[in-house]
Amino acid sequence: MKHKYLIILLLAFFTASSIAQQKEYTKLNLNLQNASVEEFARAIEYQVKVHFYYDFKELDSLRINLIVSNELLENTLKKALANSGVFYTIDDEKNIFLSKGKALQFVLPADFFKGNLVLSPDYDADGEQAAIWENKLYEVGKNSNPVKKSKYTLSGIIKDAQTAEPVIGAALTEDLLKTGTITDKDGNYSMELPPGRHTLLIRSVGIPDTYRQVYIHGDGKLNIEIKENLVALDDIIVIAQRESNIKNTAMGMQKVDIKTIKQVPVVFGEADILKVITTLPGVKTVGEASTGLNVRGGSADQNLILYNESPVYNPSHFFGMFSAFNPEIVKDVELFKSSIPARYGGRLSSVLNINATEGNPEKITGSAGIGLLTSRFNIEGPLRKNKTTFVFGARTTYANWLLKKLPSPYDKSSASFYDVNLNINHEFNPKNSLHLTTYLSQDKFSLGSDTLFGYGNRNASLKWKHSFSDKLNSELTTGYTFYNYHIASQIQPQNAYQLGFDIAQKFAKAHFSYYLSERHKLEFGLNSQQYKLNPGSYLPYGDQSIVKEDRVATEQALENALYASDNIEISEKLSLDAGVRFALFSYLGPHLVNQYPADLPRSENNLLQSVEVSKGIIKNYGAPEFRFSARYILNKNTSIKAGFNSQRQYIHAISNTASVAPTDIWKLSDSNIKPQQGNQISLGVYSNLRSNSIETSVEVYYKNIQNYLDYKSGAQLIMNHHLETDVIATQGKAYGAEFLIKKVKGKLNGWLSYTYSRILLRTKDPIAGELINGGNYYPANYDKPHDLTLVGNYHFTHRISTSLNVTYSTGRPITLPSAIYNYAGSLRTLYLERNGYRIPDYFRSDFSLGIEGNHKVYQKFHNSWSFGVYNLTARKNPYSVYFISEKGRTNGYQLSIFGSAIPFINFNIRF
Amino acid sequence: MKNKSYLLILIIAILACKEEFTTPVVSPPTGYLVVEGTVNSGNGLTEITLSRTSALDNPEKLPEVGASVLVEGEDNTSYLLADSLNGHYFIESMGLLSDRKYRLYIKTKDGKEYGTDFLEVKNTPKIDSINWERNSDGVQIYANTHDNTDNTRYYHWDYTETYVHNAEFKSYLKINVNTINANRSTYQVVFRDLTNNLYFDSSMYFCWQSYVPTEILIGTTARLSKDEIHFPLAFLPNASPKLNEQYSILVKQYSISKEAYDYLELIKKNTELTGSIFDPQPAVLKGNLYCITDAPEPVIGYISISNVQQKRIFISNKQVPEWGHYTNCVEKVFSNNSNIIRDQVVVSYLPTDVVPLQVPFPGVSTYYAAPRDCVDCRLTGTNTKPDFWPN
Repeated sequence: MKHKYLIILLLAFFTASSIAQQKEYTKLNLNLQNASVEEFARAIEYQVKVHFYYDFKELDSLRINLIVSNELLENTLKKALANSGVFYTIDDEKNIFLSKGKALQFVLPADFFKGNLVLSPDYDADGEQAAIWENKLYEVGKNSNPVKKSKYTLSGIIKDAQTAEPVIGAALTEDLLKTGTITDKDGNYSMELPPGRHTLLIRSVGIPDTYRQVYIHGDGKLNIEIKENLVALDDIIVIAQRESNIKNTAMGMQKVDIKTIKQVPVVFGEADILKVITTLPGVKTVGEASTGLNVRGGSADQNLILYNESPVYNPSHFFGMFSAFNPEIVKDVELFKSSIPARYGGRLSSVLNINATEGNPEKITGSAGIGLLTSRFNIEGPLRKNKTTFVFGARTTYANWLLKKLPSPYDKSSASFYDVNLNINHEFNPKNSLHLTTYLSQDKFSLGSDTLFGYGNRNASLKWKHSFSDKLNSELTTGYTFYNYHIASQIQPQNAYQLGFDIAQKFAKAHFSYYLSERHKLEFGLNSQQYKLNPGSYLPYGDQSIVKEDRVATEQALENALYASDNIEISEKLSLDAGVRFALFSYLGPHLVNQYPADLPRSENNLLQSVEVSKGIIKNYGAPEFRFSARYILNKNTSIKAGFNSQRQYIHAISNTASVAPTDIWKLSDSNIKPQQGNQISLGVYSNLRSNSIETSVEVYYKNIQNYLDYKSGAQLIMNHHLETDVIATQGKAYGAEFLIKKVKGKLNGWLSYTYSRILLRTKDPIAGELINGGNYYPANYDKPHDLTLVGNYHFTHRISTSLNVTYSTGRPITLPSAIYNYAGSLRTLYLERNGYRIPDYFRSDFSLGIEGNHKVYQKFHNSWSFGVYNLTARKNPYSVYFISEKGRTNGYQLSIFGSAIPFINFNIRF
Repeated sequence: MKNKSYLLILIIAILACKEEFTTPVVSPPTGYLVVEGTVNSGNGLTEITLSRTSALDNPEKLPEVGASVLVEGEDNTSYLLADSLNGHYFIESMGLLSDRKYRLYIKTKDGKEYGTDFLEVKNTPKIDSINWERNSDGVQIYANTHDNTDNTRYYHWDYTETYVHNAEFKSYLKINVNTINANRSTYQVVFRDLTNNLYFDSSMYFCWQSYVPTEILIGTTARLSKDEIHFPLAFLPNASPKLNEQYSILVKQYSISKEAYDYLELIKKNTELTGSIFDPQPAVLKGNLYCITDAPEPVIGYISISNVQQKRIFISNKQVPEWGHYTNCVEKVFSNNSNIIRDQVVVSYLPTDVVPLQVPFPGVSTYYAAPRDCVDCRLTGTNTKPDFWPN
């Protein structure tokens, strides 16, 4: 209560530069019976150009009965408020302040504004001005500024008042001037405003629309803290695009926050980031046991998966049953599939940014969950209040109990995984902060008792955010990524072996964003990454083994890139985003370089010579990549966008299995393997209906791909010292149309997406040796033309919510036998055409029911249950089809991963 | 309890995922040529088998007869294989020279020509030994070989198993048929030798049987420091009838090129490995045979030229104590009544022995009978003793 007075008082101080009590306005006619203060104020505002300021809670008991005709404003107010204990004050800007108990006084010392800014209680933890209140006027810049410009820069961070986390994608608009901006991924915003008073409207997902009053004297900073709806269980489907769906220049960008991810039912009930991403238009997956994403006709290795800036090579656990990210420490996920910002490069199809939460700076909170196969725990909080925060998350599995129940020999199998995240964020001052991200994941299996298998990711990165000025911000990141797998087999002691693969990547990135003017927002920077691959080691395992030690030579490369982009606002309606990225890839020695004649197929027989190149650059590849997108606003609710993107990729995963296997090998471009190239053009129409509560979009694209590596028939990929002889550079073309309808708000929310898309490959390289399917176009094995997904959530009450997820897609292509022949005493199948047929169509529906515990806001523990059924219709979706010779007969089988309805249950606690 | 049911459902989910699949592929009616065999450069038989692929929905053996099959040398030598009119083409020892190159040439009766390029003659090292080991599940037989020159590296084997396959029951009795007229016969079970009740028909009791594997056996030492291999061949599960008496295996060993190995490996991968999620995708085969007259036409097969090494071992039932005996054969008791014999016995049973009664009656009143192939071993094997069989 006391606080509010102060605000009103201060408001008065700031705005009233001269004392003004009485001004003549147009006359009023009112007839109010038992009107609330709100109705009263509105009625007057309707008739004369004034604005009321009051604290609603303070005046909520005020009832006004009043009949006036042709009355002056001042007299009207006097009459209305007579004997109510409510006083009014009018300043010279025609603002009317209502206050209880006593009238506001505008008595100011004459030199009041010559000194520093008046101390306000609204300062955030960093001593920066933080705008918390809607009806307070915040002054920005020094009034005494001698240079008067027509526009000044206002910048700052929009934060959540409770968690102090930056609010990303919040739209900030000045209603009268019709200018606005959107906060970036760190919550930063920057906009130009003419001096004087402005009302800013802040809109963001999950947060009610809110206003801030500012008075611009000069360039300055204003952090804005906004409050989320306090109704804790009122989950809102969150894809932070509402306004940005239309206004953002970028196209093909999707953002999903963790609340949404947790609502979508998945197998075993473990919230899965990547599985939810596959429900978005243009994103597909080969099948259930695969977390490989295929974005707009791209293969799984063409996605750059970044966890807080660190690339992740294998984003899955359990051969793809679960994604390798603990949902409790993820804040949100951004997918760029069309306009890829110039700051990202090195992959053809998409960038998937997984952003971790930054930790609650105020108090220690956490959660724990128990599921059928996994358990997770996370805790976050301040190490030093409002300065240093930490987030720790861990997950583990206990699937062994399940495997033990399987019949022999599978009962000797074991499987386990874990992942651990620890992030520490420290803010030195408002201009400098450090962010440490660490991530560790490990999977272990033994099949039967004699084959051991394991893989793991290790990531660490350190980011320093520095703000040079209101206009120039920088981020310096350095980090290390490591991925390895190993297989050990001791079925025969003599042949027992251990096979290993690893890839290490060091990187440093410098990213700058510069707010040049209202019209130009620049981003530029430098990326440098060093790759070191041990493509394979094959070692004896155990004493009796006579296995010959074999190591495929280490590969090294350096990828440096410079980039710059400009977001240009040509007019209110037309904006452009133009960027260029120049990457220089250097394949480094020492390495044995295999040389082949220029005009003959690359095969072992045609190998001319192998030359040992010592240190230094063996091969350079460099080319500019262009990123361009434009947006034109047709009307308030509709915009069209167009984009062109070119990309290059210097590291390739090569696979000849149906699914993305953890044992797929990665290969760097070298003198025999050229980088992959891709160009994409896209066009989209975006429309928001019903005051942004329904978003619709249609995007079409065409993409061509060069030098995508497909395997030759019967390729040997593991432990191959001359991989170039087993792969073929193929050309690809991908095209498609994506439709999305999304209901963002309301008891019923969710989205419906439909994609028509094709991805066709062809080998045209005359020196490939073998032309797949005679050199004609053939579908890639993730080509699924029709794809329809519905994700729907319905909230019965605040405590009970349900979700339904329905997916239909065309069956993926497979290679089927063309004929049968008898060979070596058995009937065998003959394959002549790669990917010539399709498995049956895929259909699945999942259902989940979420029940929250009691509803009190202030309690130590909140608990919740979720129940659900995966694959409700128990459809046996074939994952693969294969033919095997059994006892002289050839039999065809189809394999389904989840051939029945699978119930799940999960219990979660938050504290 | 709740946990139990989840468990059950999960297990069903994991196990109930394999189903039969009906293919939508329509195969070409005239198949492609399939060539199988190894050209034996040394002593011994060369056998090349020609056949045609058949439609998926109608798998059948389609031998290619009437073709001219020749082994031709770079030095213009030529050897014509004899057509045995069942798709098999034979020639006895050709004695090819190891420093020359040879090719296989085929002209089918429809006039199309097929062939390989000229191929090197590979040298196959001797089989060091064939040994066997008994473990808790049965007997595993291995081939052991090595090449001191480290040149072989890629091996191909095949084998033929031969074993004593006696009938389950001795037949002391036979059925006499007494034809009265065209519509009426009477039946009676009698001793085979009315003077000697211990006489049984040994021609239908003592037999041998042969078995060829339906699996491609290839191995490599490419990843080993020594060109030395211990390769598992046949496996005899406990109580396998193959070891009821005596068992023999003849192993043939061929040295093949890496390309031939890769090709056979592909055939194996395409057809023998089960379709786990991470198994490789089936591959399109490309052998070393091509159609000379119509280049794009696929030809299936990979021809290698090498000398053949072979070795035979025997294992007797005595060497595997408590081997166990497994049979489906069960005797039933019937009475010596003409109508019963006519209706129940004569079609699918053979009488074995008399049911001993407490008071010895002359003749046969009730007797045992068993399914025909439990009594007459000639139905599944041969009673001609193989010439390599020890006495």
